[in-house]
Amino acid sequence: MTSDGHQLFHEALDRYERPLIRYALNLVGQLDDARDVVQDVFVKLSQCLGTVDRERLAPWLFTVCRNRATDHLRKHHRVVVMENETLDLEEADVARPGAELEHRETRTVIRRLLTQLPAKQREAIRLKFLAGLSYQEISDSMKTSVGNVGYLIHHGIQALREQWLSLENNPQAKSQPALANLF
Amino acid sequence: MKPEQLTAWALNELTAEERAQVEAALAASPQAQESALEVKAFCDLLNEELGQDECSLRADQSEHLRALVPAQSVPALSTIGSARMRSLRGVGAATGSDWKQGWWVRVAAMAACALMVGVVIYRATPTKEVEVAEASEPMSPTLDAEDVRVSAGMTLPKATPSPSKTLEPKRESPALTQNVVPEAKSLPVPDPVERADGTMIAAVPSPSAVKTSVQIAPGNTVLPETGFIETSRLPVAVVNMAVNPISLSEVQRVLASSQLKGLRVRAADLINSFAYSYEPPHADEAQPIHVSATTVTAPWESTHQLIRVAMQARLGADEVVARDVRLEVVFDPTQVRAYRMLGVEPLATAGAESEPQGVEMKAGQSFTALFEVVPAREALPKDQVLADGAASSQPQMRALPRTPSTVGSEKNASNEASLMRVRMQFQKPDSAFAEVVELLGTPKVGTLETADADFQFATALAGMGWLMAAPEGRGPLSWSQVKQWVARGEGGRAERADLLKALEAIPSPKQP
Repeated sequence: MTSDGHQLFHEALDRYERPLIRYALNLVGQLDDARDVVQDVFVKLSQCLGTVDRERLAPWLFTVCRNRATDHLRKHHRVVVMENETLDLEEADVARPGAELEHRETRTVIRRLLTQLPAKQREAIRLKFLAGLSYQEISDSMKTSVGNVGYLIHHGIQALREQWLSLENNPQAKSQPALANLF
Repeated sequence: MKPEQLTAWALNELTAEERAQVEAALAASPQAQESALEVKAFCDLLNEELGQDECSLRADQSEHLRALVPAQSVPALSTIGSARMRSLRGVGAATGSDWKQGWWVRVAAMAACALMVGVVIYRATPTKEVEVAEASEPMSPTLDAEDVRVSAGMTLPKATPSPSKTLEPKRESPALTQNVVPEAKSLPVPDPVERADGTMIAAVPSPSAVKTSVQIAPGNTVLPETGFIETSRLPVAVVNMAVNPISLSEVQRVLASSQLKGLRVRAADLINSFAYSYEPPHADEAQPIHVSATTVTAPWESTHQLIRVAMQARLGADEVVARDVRLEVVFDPTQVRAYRMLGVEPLATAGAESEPQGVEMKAGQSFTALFEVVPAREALPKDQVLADGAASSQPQMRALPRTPSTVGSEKNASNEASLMRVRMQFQKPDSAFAEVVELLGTPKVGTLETADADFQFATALAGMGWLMAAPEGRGPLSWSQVKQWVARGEGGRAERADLLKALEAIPSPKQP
């Protein structure tokens, strides 16, 4: 008979492998790095099977993933620290030259817009759309109330949508660079 | 209707009742309905664009992970710790059901052995020896039979002289807390974590993996000391600097009581609940914290060495001088056979939040960590070495990250062989980057009697932790010895003087 621990580990691997890689990829930027981060997450899970709370497995996995990605970025000197307040006010007003960037794919544009959100909104959006977590799971992972998660996601989506609509009306601006590759 | 509700509706995050309310409101307002559909369309776009990447692990990674937890090898969550204990006792690779089937056979065998070799020890206090996976947690009053373990070398209650009777799990003693057994054999678990710089990293072990024999009075929670970790396998010890302060009045109350009730005995907490005056950063030192290491002969074992790692924040206003402060000690396997941290702060075991987090240090604050070290030329202490698996199965610690502004300074370097290297990481409050200071420990060995007062006082507190856990003493360590060290380390400090008074008022407070 397959044990609960075995089941938990393999179910977690089946269920969360791709969402974790999507999430990690958005944090570290490189697919191979994201894979390494996610591998570390599951190694850690294998060591904590006796203690991890299966009811809160998803928040646990994504919290570990965030920590590992942060460590990875620090280790590779790719951390750019910028206060959220700065991000809220700052705007990119210089278009990146180069014809190759003029027709970015929708996905790339959305991801670039995502980097411009305040940190908490960005994290809530990541956990919702990249990781596929519920409000409750996001609440556990971000250590904030479900109500605040709803607030962050609503305002994050509003901001993204407004930016998206404005880009739709001004396609040239789609080639604007991201403000910073934050995590 | 709040705008957030509209988004929650679009993301299907509402309860059935909330959803019905929102949809009723939408039905009544074509304008709201149009807005809702626009939001939903954008959410669908986000889902499609952000959530549909089919990136996965490489085949070799996936294979490696699935091999980590092969089928049939992991017990149920509720018994994983018990299984670990079983393996540590060398029972073998029996499955959980095998174990249940053979339990009574083993009990009978152990009882017979106990009778034949006469190793039964009688105790004055009627207690029961129970192994639990999580030593820091009190046993549940409603133990299941498979949660109760009886160990070889067990301690039997005087009130029940028949070993065969004693070996039966007794459910009528819910106040018992824990016992752990010093039998540590290998546990088949993955290798310890190798870091980028090639070193292997170990967590300072939590009580669940610590095997030592402690007799505990009912109602107390006593944390056992840690076993030694072999340096050749795990040379890096990450120190959990989070301190749970214990007030002097609490210590006094416990010393004055006839039972060790009401105090979680953690020597690391005891030690760091008192103030010390270590050497502060020099005037020309850019770092806000000075770290130093001192080595003496361990007073309870002349072949071992006792190392104090001391950290002292610079003086000044009541301000945070460093944040995210972390400490780790890297032992040299050619010089050190094994080590353990005294009175270790046990790690929580539940995942991401269990990793030692960096702490803040304010001006004037200090931190003390004591390590007992077995030199390479000495033999390993019998029955006190953590199994490889027990050590490496601890929660993986986050390695100290290096940053562009990493400071790599070596101090106190000498021509003599060094036992270890101390790494301290911190961030200055106004800095975005972490800095690392490395200290090459000097192998200067003296005796505790000739060491500074702070070292003697900290050792006395470690000794108090031991004696509270095991009142019969630990080798030559005794309450009178602890009193001596407290007296020498008192140094005119009011708190220390009060502690000394409390100790002197009770000549042998915890003698059996």
